[in-house]
Amino acid sequence: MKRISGGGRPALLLLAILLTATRADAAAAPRRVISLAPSLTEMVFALGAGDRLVGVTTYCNYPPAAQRVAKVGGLADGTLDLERVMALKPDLVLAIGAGQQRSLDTFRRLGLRVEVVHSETFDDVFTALTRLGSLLGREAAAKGLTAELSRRVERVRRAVASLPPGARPRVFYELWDRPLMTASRDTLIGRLIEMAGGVNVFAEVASHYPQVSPEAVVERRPELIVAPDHHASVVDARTLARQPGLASLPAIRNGRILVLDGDLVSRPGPRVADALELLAHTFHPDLIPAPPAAGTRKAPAP
Amino acid sequence: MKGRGFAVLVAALAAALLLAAIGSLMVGSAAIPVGRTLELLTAAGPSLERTILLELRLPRIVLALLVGAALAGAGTAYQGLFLNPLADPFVIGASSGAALGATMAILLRASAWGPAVLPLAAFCGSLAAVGLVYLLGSAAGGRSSPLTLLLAGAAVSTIVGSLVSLLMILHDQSLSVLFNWLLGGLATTTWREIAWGGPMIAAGVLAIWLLSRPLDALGLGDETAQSLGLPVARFRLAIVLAASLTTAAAVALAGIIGFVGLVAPHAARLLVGGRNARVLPVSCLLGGLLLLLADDAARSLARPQEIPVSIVTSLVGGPFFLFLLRRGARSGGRS
Amino acid sequence: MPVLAAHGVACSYGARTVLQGFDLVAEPGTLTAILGPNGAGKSTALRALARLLRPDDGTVTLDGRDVWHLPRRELVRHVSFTPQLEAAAWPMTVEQAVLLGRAPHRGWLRPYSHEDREALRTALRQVELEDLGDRDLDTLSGGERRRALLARALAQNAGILLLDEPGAHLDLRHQIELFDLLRRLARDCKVAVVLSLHDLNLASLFADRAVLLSGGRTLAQGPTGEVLTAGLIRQAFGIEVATVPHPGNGSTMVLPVLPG
Repeated sequence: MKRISGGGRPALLLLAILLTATRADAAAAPRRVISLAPSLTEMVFALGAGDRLVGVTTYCNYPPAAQRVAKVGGLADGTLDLERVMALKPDLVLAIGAGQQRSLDTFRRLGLRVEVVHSETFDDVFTALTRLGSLLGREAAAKGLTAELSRRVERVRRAVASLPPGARPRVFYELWDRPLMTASRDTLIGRLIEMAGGVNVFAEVASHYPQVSPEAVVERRPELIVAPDHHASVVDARTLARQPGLASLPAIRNGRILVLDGDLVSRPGPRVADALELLAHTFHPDLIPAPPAAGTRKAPAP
Repeated sequence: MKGRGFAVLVAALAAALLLAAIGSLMVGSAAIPVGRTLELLTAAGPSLERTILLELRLPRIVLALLVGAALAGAGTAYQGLFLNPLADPFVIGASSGAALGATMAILLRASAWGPAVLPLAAFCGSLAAVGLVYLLGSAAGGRSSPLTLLLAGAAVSTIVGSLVSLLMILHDQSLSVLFNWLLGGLATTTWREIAWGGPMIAAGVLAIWLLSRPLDALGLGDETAQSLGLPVARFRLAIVLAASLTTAAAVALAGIIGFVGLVAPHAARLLVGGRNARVLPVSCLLGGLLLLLADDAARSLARPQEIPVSIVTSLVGGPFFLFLLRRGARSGGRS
Repeated sequence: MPVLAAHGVACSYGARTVLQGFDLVAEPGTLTAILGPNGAGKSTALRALARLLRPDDGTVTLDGRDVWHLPRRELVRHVSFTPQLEAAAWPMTVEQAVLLGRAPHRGWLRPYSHEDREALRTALRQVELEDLGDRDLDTLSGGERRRALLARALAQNAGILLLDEPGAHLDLRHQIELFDLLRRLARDCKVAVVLSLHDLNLASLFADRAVLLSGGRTLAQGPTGEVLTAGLIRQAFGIEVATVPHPGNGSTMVLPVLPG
């Protein structure tokens, strides 16, 4: 055996360390990730692992880079293209679980690694980010992101706590116009409204997204209306005012209508802090400064 | 149609079915070249493509054939039972009843007790709905006319369907689970499911086939059937049980799929006449073929999204049904 | 040959009594006609005899045994019932429809045998429909359809034939052919035939015995000539008639007498 020269030994050692490190890295962090929920997609990108996504759903539209990732179908069993998922050879499939049970069972059966990350409520966002951080080997990023989100949430909370009683505006969230639907307390938007220092006029209803009558809305005299823009249509005070029965509401007459990106308040993801700040600023403009976020429009008075 | 012609027809349909099944193996978003497909089936050793073929495509194809045959068989039975060419498991309320049974099982989390609970609940729901239709139809006017039965069926189907929707809205936390289950689909089936569903369907269809002659006699009216010695009530019950078993298995496996049970028996009658012993096998073959082709379309038309197969059968079934009506207005049966 | 008989049979639909005190013995080798105006109870009587309608009072017996205590399967081997109207929900060939008449012997599950096909051929021959075996029922004329129904009853090989207005809607020639066939069956094969009909003259020509019903009650019963009298007909139908002997064979012919 030839004697290895002295100069080569450090190089070999370095090589050995590098090889071990890479292998360990490969074993730890998945590199081909499929996300089956828009909220999870946003979180993956927010953690800086967006480049590892090889497949997302057709609803994953944020951040813009997500739109360039290959699509594997819709959100539910029956709309997911199982073959495409398999063909992308993912080493990790992320899902929120609801309505996808059978597809997830199939993936597991076929040997894919499936991790269900619950993300339904406001609090879920933090646990989800932490979990994703550990799954993706981005613990540090997760820690930093959750800390920052917590900080922003805490700032709003303190401001709202300092409000005198009676200073909370009555808010009506119009999820859809025909039929007229709203959200109750147990939804993300319901929670956000409360946290932002508002009072959801339909908070106490049992169903999450009940259908309500215009009379019920008028009865509760909301001072403010929040509505999602559903991407497609333009929602403003005029269209809202055309709703039978609602034209008389002070909220409409005073133009206190906030139209915002529906995804912000329906996706339990990293943008919940943006949503919270936006709502809080709308409810209490003197208390909370305007957030720098884009994607919202205030409706002009009719 | 002479005996020999019938045998030729059945053989031709079976061959078409086989071809369609093989063709369907080639359909899918994972591009597996045609030549490789057959090679992969016989090759040893695991591979991604082989997994896709054997665990995703093949069970789906088998299920489409089974469920298509089941719906067609049940449709033939219900049409014979209600003496009405518009009867099919969906119209008669059997599908809605099965869905209600299964919905309640899902909401009560009963499906956790075992894999047989869901189809059993579906079976009970199906029986209850058809039984109710029969009661309503008979109560409406002394002797139950086929038209009354059909109206009762439409009423029950609508009411039960609304109940299912109501349950879904009141429990909208479980909405997505229920809704997805209802829309069903053939994509996420497993060989294990097929292992229990297949024999159930086979048993149901066989039972219906054994009851062909009584179905023929019932087609001539209760009086004639009785005068020929048929214990009408007993055989009606037997037919209902067999058809409901078949429907329940189909719904439990694949959700609610309409039109197959309506169109296949009609097409079969146009081909072979009214004798149920012949209509049934042809109907089952046609039903399987129809559903298989519909499923192929469902997973190819809007890639990467899959359209629920029940939507395709409705889109295709409607115009097809009109076409059949025009062609065979006379042979399509009269009530 | 077993004998079917009704003893004091009474039937009602709800509160309405439609038949009372009905007696009849279906003698083998005879053709009995049940006569009467609409609503007199003719169909009811036949259905009671056929074990299709349960009497509220009285019994129907086959060789002395109550038919409702007999298994239906056994009864239909001896008694066949041919309704006036039969609507087929699905297209059916003549052969298939007639073969169903073998169900009482073959059962509902076993395939038809050689014997069944023989009975089919014989029956079709008797009604002169041999060439139309493959035709769909609904492509037949009214008369041919009637004959197909009769063929089924014949294939059933029952010793007792019950028929509800078998001649309705047939033209005269076919009516005569049909009744002639039935009478020959009775005479030659010792079959007991009981049928209802409206045409009193045809009854007179072909029926050995007659039962005259009115309002559910039996007005008269016996040899046809004795039943068809002006007085009884007036009582039953409320019309005036004159009876004259048939120039050919002396049977009583009934001619309506117009008022004024």
